[in-house]
Amino acid sequence: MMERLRQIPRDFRYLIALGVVLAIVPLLLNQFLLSVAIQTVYWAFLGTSWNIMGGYAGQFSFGHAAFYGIGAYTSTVLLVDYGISPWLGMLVGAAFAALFGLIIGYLSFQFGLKGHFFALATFAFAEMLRLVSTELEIVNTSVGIHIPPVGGDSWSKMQFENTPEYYFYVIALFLIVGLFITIIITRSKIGYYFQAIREDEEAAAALGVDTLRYKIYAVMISAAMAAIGGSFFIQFFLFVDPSLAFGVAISIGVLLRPIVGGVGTIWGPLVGALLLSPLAEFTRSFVRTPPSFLSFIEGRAGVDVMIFGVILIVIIIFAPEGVAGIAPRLWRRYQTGRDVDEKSKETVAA
Amino acid sequence: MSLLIVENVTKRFGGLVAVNDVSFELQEGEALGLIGPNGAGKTTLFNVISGNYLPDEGRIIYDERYDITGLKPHRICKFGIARTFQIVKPFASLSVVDNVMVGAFLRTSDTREAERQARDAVEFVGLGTQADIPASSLTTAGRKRLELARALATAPRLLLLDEVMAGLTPTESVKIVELIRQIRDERGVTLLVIEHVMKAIMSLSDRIAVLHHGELIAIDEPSVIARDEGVVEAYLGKEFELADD
Ligand SMILES: Nc1ncnc2c1ncn2[C@@H]1O[C@H](COP(=O)(O)OP(=O)(O)OP(=O)(O)O)[C@@H](O)[C@H]1O
Ligand SMILES: [Mg+2]
Repeated sequence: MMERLRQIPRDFRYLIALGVVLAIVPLLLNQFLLSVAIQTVYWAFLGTSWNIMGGYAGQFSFGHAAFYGIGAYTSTVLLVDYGISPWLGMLVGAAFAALFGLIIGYLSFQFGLKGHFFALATFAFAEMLRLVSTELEIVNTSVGIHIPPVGGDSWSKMQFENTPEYYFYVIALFLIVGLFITIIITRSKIGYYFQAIREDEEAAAALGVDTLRYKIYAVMISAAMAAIGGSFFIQFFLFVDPSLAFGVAISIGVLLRPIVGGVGTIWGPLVGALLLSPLAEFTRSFVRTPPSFLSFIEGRAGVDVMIFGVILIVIIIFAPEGVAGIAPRLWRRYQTGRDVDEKSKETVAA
Repeated sequence: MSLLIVENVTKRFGGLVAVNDVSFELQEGEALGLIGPNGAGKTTLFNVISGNYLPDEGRIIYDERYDITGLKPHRICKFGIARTFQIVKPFASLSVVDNVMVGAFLRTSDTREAERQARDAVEFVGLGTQADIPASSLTTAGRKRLELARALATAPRLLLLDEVMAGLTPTESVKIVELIRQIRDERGVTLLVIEHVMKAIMSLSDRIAVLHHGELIAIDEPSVIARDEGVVEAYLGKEFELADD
């Protein structure tokens, strides 16, 4: 058994271990902590989606809310107006988001948008969708859509009022699949091409990489995953409106996790989410009921955002590769340090 | 058989004519040297052949059948034309072997096979011991070799080498010349080589083409080029003795 395990590549072993941990976690948590855990895994999943396009392929998205919101609205409208199960609805949403990614990717890249300009374009597309949705009847304009609660657990409606652990297991499964896809990508041609494009597009093209095509692939994969995250969250929250779906809070939240954890690394988005999401949740509940000497912050919005800002600045200055980026380096340094110690011991012994 | 035909190619940058009505043919299996003073238009000609620039006039014919003028670089690479860059372009954060695998993936989608081919190419250019370090930690000489290994990994029929010896010590240059000779002799790859190191280019090439102010002023065997008055005046000048010793 151990022999078998050892033959599995390292990242897959980590993934199995993560699966085991995620299976146990909900058993240990109270209601509040479970909700924190759901948010954490959910943001890790969204960060994993962003990471494929922004991290591996190097196409920085500042408008991931566009894809997220398409997913959120598609599954919601299909459920509320047509009675279609969100499980199916989220796949349709993923397909729509991928199609939207194909269109904006083609438009942006064909016109040579790169770096900041591409990031701004993605932001503009998300804002455009937000504005359009405030006027659009089919999504109930700026009023938003409530998903009628079924009052209990229903797998087909993806609602788990009695057993919120199921929400956790659903999003945990998505995260595992998302990470699995990421690992497969990094080990295959498409992942090598993504990274080559990120590092030097001209050199990649000279080696036969169809850069336009592969950049669009990255956007489409990333978009489909973000849309599924959007569908999930609305099923959890049971309400969607234009700013929840397409707001800048999503776009920023999505890229913050990988940037803090480590852009273009498999585990970076998860590490980032583990650091930031609990922090956000605790800050929010702290601000709701602060101790008496801090009563002036009671009910103030945005404290979590301020803390995020500070963390982001610290990370960018001290660890631009992110936490998952520096951790292996520190670990190696620690290990080589130990090796040297052992070698010097051996020399002494000899 | 002509593997590459360059036909009346002209490339302008605004008022500057970087390549002016250049025509020549490259035989399969041949090694053609391309020399000329700084700014003569050598790299620009490469960029036209490799699809990075669209020529203002003229055509590029590959394998006597395909008009590849103005095709995208990745398609031209797929035809079997690989190039190196004068200003090296490593994928800095990837390991040496991962860099080369990007090239190998042109002909296979199997990761193991790509890695095997990449390790061969890395070994061939003499980077075997550095295969698993990040490309960013290579020296200049190492980066030049990496350019070569990546291009080779695409299994080209025609290889365009843009000053792969620039910035190297004489010993390093000798080794690279030996490598390039092997690429031609053992793998049958046709070569178009830009080089300022006269001794190297003279010994390596079957023929030499001389560009001056964008014009092709001579194309002939090395011994003839070395005696050509126009060439000596335009370019060889004081460096001429180098070619002779
Ligand atoms: N993208 C560009 N835009 C404008 N001018 C250019 C461009 N590329 C090259 N040139 C100009 O075209 C001329 C030819 O340049 P090129 O790089 O082809 O010369 P070269 O023969 O390769 O020189 P070197 O030996 O220095 O590498 C030069 O005058 C150069 O300044
Ligand atoms: Mg040049």
